[in-house]
Amino acid sequence: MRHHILHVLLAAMALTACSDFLDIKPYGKTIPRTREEYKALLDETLNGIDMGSTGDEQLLGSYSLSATYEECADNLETNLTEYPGGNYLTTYIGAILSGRQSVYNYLYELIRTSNIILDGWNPDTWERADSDIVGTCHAIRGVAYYQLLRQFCAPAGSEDATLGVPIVTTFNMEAKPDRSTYAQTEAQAEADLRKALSYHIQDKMYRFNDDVVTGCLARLYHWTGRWQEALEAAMEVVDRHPLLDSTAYRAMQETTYGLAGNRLIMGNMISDGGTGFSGTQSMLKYRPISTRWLSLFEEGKADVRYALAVAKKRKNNKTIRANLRSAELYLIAMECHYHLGNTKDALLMLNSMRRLRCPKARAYTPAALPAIPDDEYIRTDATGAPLTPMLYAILRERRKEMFMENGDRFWELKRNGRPEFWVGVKGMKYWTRSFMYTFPLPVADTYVQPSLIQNPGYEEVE
Amino acid sequence: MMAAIGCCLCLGLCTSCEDTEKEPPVNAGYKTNIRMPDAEDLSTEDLELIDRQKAEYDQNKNNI
Repeated sequence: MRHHILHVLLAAMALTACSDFLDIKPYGKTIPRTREEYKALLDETLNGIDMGSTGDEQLLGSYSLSATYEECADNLETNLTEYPGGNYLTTYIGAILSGRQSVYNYLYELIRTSNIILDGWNPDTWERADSDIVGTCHAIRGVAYYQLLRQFCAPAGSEDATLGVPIVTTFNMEAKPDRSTYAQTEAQAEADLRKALSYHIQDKMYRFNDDVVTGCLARLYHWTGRWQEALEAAMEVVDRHPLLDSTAYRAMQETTYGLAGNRLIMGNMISDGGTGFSGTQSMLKYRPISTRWLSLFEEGKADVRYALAVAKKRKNNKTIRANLRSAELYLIAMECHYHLGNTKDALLMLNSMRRLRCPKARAYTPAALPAIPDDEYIRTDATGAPLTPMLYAILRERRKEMFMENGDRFWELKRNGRPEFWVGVKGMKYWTRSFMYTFPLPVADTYVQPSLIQNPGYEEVE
Repeated sequence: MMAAIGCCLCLGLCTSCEDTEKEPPVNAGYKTNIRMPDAEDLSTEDLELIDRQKAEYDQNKNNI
């Protein structure tokens, strides 16, 4: 009998301990418990975004990421890369695709951080000011899902835009959800950004104020082809942050860090004090700007963007960065007007922007638009329709404006038809294929979870 | 300490404890590097295009 009692007691002790252990699921890390610990967790993430730290930089970008995607697009001329200096530049997107698996993990780490804080949020005991923390977590999660949609799913207007990414909205280390539909991922990103907006984040250190979140919503709607909603969101911000004249524009572009001019938010907003930025900037000089990009400027140096960007020997002189600023939203609105059939409004906006960047710019009319050059890679738009001269003029303006910002041209290529093109490097020919615009999910995840569907083109591993 | 004793004692009864400490098999020799299509040789036509780009660049690079 005594033996039986002892066994029962021992078993009770053992199972109680196991239960506590499983509740925490630490995997070697401690889960925060107090308000201060949750706040510290978010502060660390925001600091990583500001500093462009590995992982956190995936949310809003960094100068380094902008350079990488710019190198994979066609604003620079890879065929003319100078070696050995150019060895550090990315050859083409295929060269870094396998490494994109970690981007997926980094974005889910940001989602995990948001989920931990949102799970721990207790509106009864937290202060009113803490709603900034909760709103920021929704903003981070919303932008993370937008990034996953943009990078790991097919572009919205394409026939293969059916799969989204797994959706995780609570902290559960054992959960292994399958991929959602494209619409579900889009809805999650939208719901989070709308929720973030409802908190009206006030404290500047949390970055995602109403203008920023609305701007992020405009980006999401634009990416997914919801033109009316994108137009409304973009114009709401543009009305509060109008375009700058060429003098103020130049001052903003010559300011490397911080929210100069009408920048709303920036990845890598603070210098890390190291040589990373100057190194990245100077490396780009080993790859000249392409004539395809230079020929976009009918007015040449009279356009402030050309004057800022082009140095001797066609080397880039523009400061590379990742940011969301008013002009991007203005261009989104312009394109939305076009897709909604308001070509008159689109043209009005286009001419206004051109005049601000170059007072001498001639006004476009429906009968006098630039011809689509033969060497333009984009031939179809985001809806799959053939590129028209009017839309070409809008995308062309975007290409000039967003040069060296956010790797914008690469994403524009993805959004508008995923064109295939090749580059010559050291005697070899490397093709950017259509499938490469949609990045691979981590192969390791497909081993652990065989029902997780990998994107096409990534069947061979070594 | 109690958790450690508890887990030791119930080994064999509670396999969940063991499961939570398992690493996923990603570090167990699985291949995770995605293979990209091989590069091709540049054709004569490709080389001519690159030569034209180089010539145009050399001729005009100082006129910017």
